Amino acid sequence: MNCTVSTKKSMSRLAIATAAWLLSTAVATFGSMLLWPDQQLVKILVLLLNLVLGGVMIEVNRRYVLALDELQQKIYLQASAISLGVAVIGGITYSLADTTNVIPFDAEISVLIMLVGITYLVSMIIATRRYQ
Amino acid sequence: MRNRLKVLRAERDWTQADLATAVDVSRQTINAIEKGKFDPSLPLAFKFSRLFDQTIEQIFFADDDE
Repeated sequence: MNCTVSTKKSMSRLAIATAAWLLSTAVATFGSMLLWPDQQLVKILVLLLNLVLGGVMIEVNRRYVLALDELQQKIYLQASAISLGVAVIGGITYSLADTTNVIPFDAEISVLIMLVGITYLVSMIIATRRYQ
Repeated sequence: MRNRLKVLRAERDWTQADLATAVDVSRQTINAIEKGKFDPSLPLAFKFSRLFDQTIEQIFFADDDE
């Protein structure tokens, strides 16, 4: 997808915000397990930092969408709508499969996040090709 | 909706990228509009109108118009 200058700047900011959030998530996960397993205050502070960075990422993403041109926004909207639908329907079905013991393991949120990510990616590719 | 963007652009020897920069959209958007796969918003149509110094009706017209 070709980008305008403002879109490129917004995309860079989104990449930085996402990287910061991912890093804080890794610190919150592995730090709590390996570095400060018994320090409750540190765990809470790191979690709060992760939450704040997540909020920043959401706001940067909102600005990124506003910086897109109208066709790009339309493509983004379609991919987001499909991803949201898959997240809700897939998430409920997956959870039900766990509670009714249809699957022999616990439902993990990471599976749902991967499903949503792949759905968004595929939806973006299909919608982008449609307008080529 | 059809349009004369490709003709107007060719008359000025502009590339899709040149036109995209002039109206602040992506080249993909210009390509989609030229091929009739995407209809621009009214503000974007006005940008084309000002850029080519023609009315919107002279640039864009319905599929069933002659």
